[in-house]
Amino acid sequence: MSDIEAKDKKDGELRSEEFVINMGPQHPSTHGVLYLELRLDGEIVKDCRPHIGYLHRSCEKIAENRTYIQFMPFTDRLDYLASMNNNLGYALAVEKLLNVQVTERAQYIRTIIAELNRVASHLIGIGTFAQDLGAYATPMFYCFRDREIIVELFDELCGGRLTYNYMRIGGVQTDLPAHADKFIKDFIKYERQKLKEYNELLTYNAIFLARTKKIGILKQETAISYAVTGPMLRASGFKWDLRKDEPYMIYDRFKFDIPVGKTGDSWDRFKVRLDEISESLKIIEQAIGGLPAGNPISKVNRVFKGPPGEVYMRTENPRGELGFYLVSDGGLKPYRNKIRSPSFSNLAVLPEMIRGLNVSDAVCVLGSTDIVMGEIDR
Amino acid sequence: MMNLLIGGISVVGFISLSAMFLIWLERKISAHIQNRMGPMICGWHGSLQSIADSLKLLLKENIVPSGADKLVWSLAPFFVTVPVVMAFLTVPFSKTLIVRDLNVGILYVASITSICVLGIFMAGWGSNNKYSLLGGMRSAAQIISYEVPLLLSIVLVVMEAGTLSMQGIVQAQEQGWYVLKPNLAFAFLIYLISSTAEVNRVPFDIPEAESELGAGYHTEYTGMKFAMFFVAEYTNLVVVSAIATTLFLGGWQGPLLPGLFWFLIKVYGLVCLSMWVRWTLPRVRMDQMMTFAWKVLTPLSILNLLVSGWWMVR
Amino acid sequence: MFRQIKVIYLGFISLLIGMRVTAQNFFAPAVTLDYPRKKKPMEHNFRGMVDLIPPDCVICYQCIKICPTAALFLSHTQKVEAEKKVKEITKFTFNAELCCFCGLCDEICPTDAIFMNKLYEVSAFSHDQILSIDLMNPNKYKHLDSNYSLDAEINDNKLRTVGIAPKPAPAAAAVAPAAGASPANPAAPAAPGPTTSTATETKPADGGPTTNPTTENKQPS
Repeated sequence: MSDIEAKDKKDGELRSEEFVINMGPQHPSTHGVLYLELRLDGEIVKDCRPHIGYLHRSCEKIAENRTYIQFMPFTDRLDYLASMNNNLGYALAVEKLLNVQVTERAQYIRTIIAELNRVASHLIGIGTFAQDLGAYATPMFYCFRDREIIVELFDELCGGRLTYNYMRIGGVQTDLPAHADKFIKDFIKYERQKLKEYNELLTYNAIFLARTKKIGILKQETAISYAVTGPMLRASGFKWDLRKDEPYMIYDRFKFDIPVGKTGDSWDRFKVRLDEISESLKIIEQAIGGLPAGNPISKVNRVFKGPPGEVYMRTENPRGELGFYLVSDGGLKPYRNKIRSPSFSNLAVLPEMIRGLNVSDAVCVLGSTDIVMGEIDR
Repeated sequence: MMNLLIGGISVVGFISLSAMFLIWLERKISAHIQNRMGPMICGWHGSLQSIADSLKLLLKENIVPSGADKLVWSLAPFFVTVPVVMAFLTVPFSKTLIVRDLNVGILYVASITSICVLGIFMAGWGSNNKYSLLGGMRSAAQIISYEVPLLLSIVLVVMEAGTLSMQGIVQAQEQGWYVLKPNLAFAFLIYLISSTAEVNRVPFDIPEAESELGAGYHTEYTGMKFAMFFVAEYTNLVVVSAIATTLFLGGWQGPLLPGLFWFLIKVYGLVCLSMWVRWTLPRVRMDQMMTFAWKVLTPLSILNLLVSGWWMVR
Repeated sequence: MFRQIKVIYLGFISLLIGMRVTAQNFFAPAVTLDYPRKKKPMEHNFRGMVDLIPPDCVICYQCIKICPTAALFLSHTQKVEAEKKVKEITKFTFNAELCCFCGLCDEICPTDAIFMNKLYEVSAFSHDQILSIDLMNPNKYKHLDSNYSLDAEINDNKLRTVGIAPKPAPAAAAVAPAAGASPANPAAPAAPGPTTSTATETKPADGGPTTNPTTENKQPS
């Protein structure tokens, strides 16, 4: 049941047919299990319809049967490339509900870890985008090599490499190890060097520019009307970042810029992500310079009942605005936990962007939206 | 007669060994560019990996797609492999090592390698699969378009050397390799770009691109037939590098070592250059590729030809 | 016309700059290991499979209550021995399929009896081998990974900084806590934070899924 139906058309004396192809759930370049139904006329995409739901795991229903602490591992698996940020969003939402104060050291550690995970997530976005364009795996391996350093630190911290379960209600699970200070400072220096390499290898490369400039233009009004957030919105020229416009935690203490694109094409989205990595490195540098001593977690009862009420907490995920809407009725488990995922809205605007483009360009635009199916389907 | 037979058999032996060596070399070069190690288990640093891969391909089941045009589908790998092997007839490996020095050598090579297009088209059509057909047609369009700048660069060399025979061209470079002359260096550059497109390598590898729809014209082939496509691609790479060496880099000429060594060093140097380009650059889109061939390369090579011709007769 | 030629020329130069980056990386050393000849030792806090030190377990059921996926199953009996009531474990199994390797059971155990070991090369021939792994058996993972040794894993566990520093168990000397607490001093006093409140008055049914979570019917009106 789809309203994409191929139409026969007459073009003068040449009768041509449109046909429908499935870029099916298993495909090397749809990031995850996404099913795109494309109606093509020759090689030009006339319409596109994404079908989702292949990774649905009933996360929100499960939340109704788990206590607040028990749900933390499930938030890891939403946007599995930016696990720490999901943990953080959920922890902040529950803390807002319970009105818990977090210690200073925990705030700083949370900022450092969240920004490190933002760097890691953007690196994967950049690497896989370059792979979709045909630069066979070389930029992807470089990005994964850099991400490996971050993941090693996270492994030492909490034992996981992709799903961390690190944030707790009231702080973080473990304190930073003793050598983390020097490790992170060395990483910042190393990554700044490597960013220059990415600029040389990809950003100003003639073939890359030809493939991504003016492809998949997303206008500001369309983006806002579809509730697109994150780097996609900033690439369209609208300067909106929750860390600056509605600061949560201690983001108002740090000095950093918000990179904004001009036209909203794929190159702008790529460049915004690359620039956001340098901005995150600035934040990490400032945070680790001023790390106070103290407890990494404040005292919260192990078993607690949430006071009746509702709260909506939104944070800036690497992919956009992640929101947790928690409704509590006074019991040990939440009554409703609704998750607003950024990739859902970012994917919804895809048909607008790829009408009239080639199939190769459709693949490129899909890569530049940097979606994660775990978030969309939950 | 005996010479011809020995020459033919040794050429075929060289090609098979060379293809297996090149598969290993490509994997090692790509691995080191990507900061990893590549095959390490079979043999010293994975050198026997190609033998393991060939054994595996030999033992695979021979699946014929239903609805495929059997004759066309089965003959396609041969149409791709045999012309490339036959192009080695006139390649001068050294002063005396050449199977047959035809006096229309370069014309023969250029025409024989054009037959590969037929094979690719047959593979795309015979597979009864719309993605293979798309891949086959794109590849045919690409190869035919890039033949024009290729041949125009070759014509420039023939004008300079005054002979079509391959040994003759090498001997005409005794005073200096052709790549040192400016107009011929430009032709060398155009030749390198066009030959990359001829062999379907990145940045022009749309026909076998993985992240586009399907996997191109050789989707439906398994086992030995797929191995033949694979071998044909690498052998084609060696052929165009060998022609480039003969035409522009002075063939087998070099100071101390015997001619054969210099020839092999130059050919594999160009092959490594091609691999280096492959693992760096992203892919060019189909219409951009055609625009580049017809609107940039062809006018530039014609301009080059006109200016060189005028300079020669002034 | 000259602008076109300049564009083409600059484009060509950008490709060459990209190739220089690749060439520099060609001569850089490899960052990967020649697995399986060389293996990377896992970090101290690595979360592998769940393991148990049976004498240290005080059968408090905290790990069962906190497990988000009901992967642990524990049952015990009470005996009278020398005029004292003594609890004894009858069955303690672990379902490796349901486990999400979050580490909450390790963190909450008051005696650090249940912990996560460093196994990551596990593979089984059939599904039954992982559905109920008997945690009381010291050779539980031998058929999944033949290099497994419970004593080596217990030794590795002493360097863990996640989780609560173990209270000195009545039989063992107070050696383990000193080794476990030193690498991260700020963590040890702070980590018991969430557990200092009394929690034992809640019934198991409220605290978390002890049986199949979908049979819980706790939706408030």
